[in-house]
Amino acid sequence: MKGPRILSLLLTVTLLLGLVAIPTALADDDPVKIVVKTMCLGPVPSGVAEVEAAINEISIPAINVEIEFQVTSVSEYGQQIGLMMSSGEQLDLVLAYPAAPANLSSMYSMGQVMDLTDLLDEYGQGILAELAGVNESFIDGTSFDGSPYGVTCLYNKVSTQYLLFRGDILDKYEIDINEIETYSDLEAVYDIILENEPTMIPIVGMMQGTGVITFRYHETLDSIFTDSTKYFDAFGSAGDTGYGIVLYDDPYTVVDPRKTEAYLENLNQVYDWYQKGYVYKDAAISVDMPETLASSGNVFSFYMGSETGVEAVKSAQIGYPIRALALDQGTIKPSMLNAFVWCISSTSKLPEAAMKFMNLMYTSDEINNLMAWGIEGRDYVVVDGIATYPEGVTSQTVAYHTADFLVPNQYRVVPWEGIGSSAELREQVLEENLNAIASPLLGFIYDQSNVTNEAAAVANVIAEHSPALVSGVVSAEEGLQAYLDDLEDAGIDIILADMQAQLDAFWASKEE
Amino acid sequence: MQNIIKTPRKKKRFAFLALDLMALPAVLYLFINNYIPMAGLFIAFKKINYAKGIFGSDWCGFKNFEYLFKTKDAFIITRNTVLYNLTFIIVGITAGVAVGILLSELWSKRARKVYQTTILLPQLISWVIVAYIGYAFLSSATGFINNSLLSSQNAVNFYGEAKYWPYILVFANVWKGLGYNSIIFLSAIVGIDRALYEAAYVDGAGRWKQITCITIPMLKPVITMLALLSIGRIFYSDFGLFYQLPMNSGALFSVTNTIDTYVYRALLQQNNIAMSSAAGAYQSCVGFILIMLSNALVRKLDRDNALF
Repeated sequence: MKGPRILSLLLTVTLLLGLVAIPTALADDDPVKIVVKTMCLGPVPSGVAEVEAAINEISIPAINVEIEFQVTSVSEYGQQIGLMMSSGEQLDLVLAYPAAPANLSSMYSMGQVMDLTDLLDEYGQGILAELAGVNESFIDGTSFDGSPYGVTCLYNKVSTQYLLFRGDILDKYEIDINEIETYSDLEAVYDIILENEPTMIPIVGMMQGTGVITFRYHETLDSIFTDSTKYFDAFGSAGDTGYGIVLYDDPYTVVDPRKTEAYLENLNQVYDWYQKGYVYKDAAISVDMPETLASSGNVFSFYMGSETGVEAVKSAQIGYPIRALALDQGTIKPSMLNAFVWCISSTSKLPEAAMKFMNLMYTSDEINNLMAWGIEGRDYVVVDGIATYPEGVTSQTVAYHTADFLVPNQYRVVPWEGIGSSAELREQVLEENLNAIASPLLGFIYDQSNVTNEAAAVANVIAEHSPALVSGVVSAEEGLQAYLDDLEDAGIDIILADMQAQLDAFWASKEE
Repeated sequence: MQNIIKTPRKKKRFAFLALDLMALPAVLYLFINNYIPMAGLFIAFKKINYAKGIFGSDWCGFKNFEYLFKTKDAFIITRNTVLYNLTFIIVGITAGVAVGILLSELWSKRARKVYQTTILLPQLISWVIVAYIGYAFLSSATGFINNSLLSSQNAVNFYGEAKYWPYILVFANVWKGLGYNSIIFLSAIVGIDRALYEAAYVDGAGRWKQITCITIPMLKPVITMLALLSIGRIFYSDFGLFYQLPMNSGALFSVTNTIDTYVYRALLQQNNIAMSSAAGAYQSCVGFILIMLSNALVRKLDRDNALF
């Protein structure tokens, strides 16, 4: 009888011991240790430890700061940041990315990022110099109420709307995309595809709910090009047009995009295309990016906002040759500036060390190359000024490889090989950035913390009505009025009024 | 002649101590995982600002609950959640009992094992995969039903028409939960004394009479227990079922939007943990009140079958 009793006692004691965490001895080194958190596009690369060691080899002698380099996959990134902040885990430097909840605007309204004014003045002179070399107003793009809360990643900020086509299919039917200027021309091309390639879908939508044709004002009803006098910026992460838009030629007024003529024209166009069979039948519910659909080989074209060099990037990503037709001139939008931003977490206990490291990040060639391409020799080699995989290493087997728009300063990174990639392209990009049409609204970020209830209700209304309308499944006649009515009930006017008030305050502070 | 065998006090105490210690890890786990987090309810009443920290943020009363009730969708989401759950309880238990009885009637033990495993399989498949299986059937572009069964004039845009979905959702939920439910009832049926059936057979009762007069009354405790527990979760919905299976299609919201999916969509862009905690608090408080009420009701009607 004693046996089982002793056994059960032992078992219980063992289980209880397992609950006791054995504290690890913390080494108290001389260098200050900070946590730097960034994201990667796919699964976490295996070779992060060596990259971290290599970066530390530079940062410890230079500024006596040691970093813990945390790389998280984009799919979990937002949640992890939120968890780290709420649990009080150490987090110092963090990269904000375009989607909630880890985008600059959300993090600011939740009080998760630190005001950098004093830190930049004291330790960040290198950063300010780099910004001045590209475009001084970039710091405004990440400022709230005049104070900077983050520094944007420096890369090509000029965004253009493109229509992307399968290059090999274009060649097969001898179509020259430079001759496409109107929707009638485009439809003629799609008819050729429908007739001759029954398994190919002429055009697919962008991700769920964001539509098939990007919303723009057209030059004339039939022209596919954007009216250059009617550029605008959209604000608020909601559906395909944000909550409201502001036109460049009248930057003081917030306009409700869904009530404009141009929006109605776009909806009618998509509906017409859906009826003709050009549009992917499941566009309203598709959760895949158009690149993913295109890599299956059955997609002919799609719209996408992107930068110079898009053909090389998309061809590599999709695996088929892609050709791009630019639909407008390319502008610098506020959303480009606050897409990828390096910030200091408000929970950080070591902001000076974090800023010193940020300064080093922006000014050091080696650190930028390490963060983008990994260890030279193992993950990449430089041939004639272009970086490429070493012998025997492919994108599947490389130990560490991310994108160069995730690093602080792309201009210091060796360009990766690709069609048209070269030092000349870099020069071209710098030129473009210096001379592009900058939006008059750089520096305006819409903070939606005053209207959380209305934003919640509007989010549901948009999720309910928008996908079907912008994918051509439901015609504007049938569905637009119901959509507008529901938006009104949900309080879109309150949100727009709040946006207008913030815009007025923004202009007022600019006058001073 | 009483107390011939008198267990010494010490032995008794030690016997109980051993039992307590055996239960201790599980109780500790329950305490840490289920009771301590209840303190987090306070988040629902604060306006969270990370700069001040979660504990230091300001109180804001019931403000975080407003978005659930102010919207005109409030009625739809509550109606959908409650009605679907009631339907799932009724249909789920009926189907579970029926299949449990059928399984218990099988002669071959091997056959029973095979059927049990196959019926249990859907329970182990995640809703995302089930959603894509459904997509393979219902999609407009490439779906089996639209492209192989129906001609192109009769093609139905399943993801655009709401009227089919109550049936699709109930069917999917039963299909998925059948294995689990039927096993519970099967184990209860197997525990019923065979002598009762033999006595009934002698009295001339046929198979059907045996089922209605012996099996089902003997299952009453299990059915009541399952029903009561499900009522406690009546304001919760299976997120995968209502979000993934309809592929998050907006046109279907009037029949697929539940409290959980509404909150998810509303706060996806906002990262507002206070508002989402408010939704969770609302659901659990209502569920708690309902389970207390229904248990009190059952206790009045049938003392033995009440949960507590």
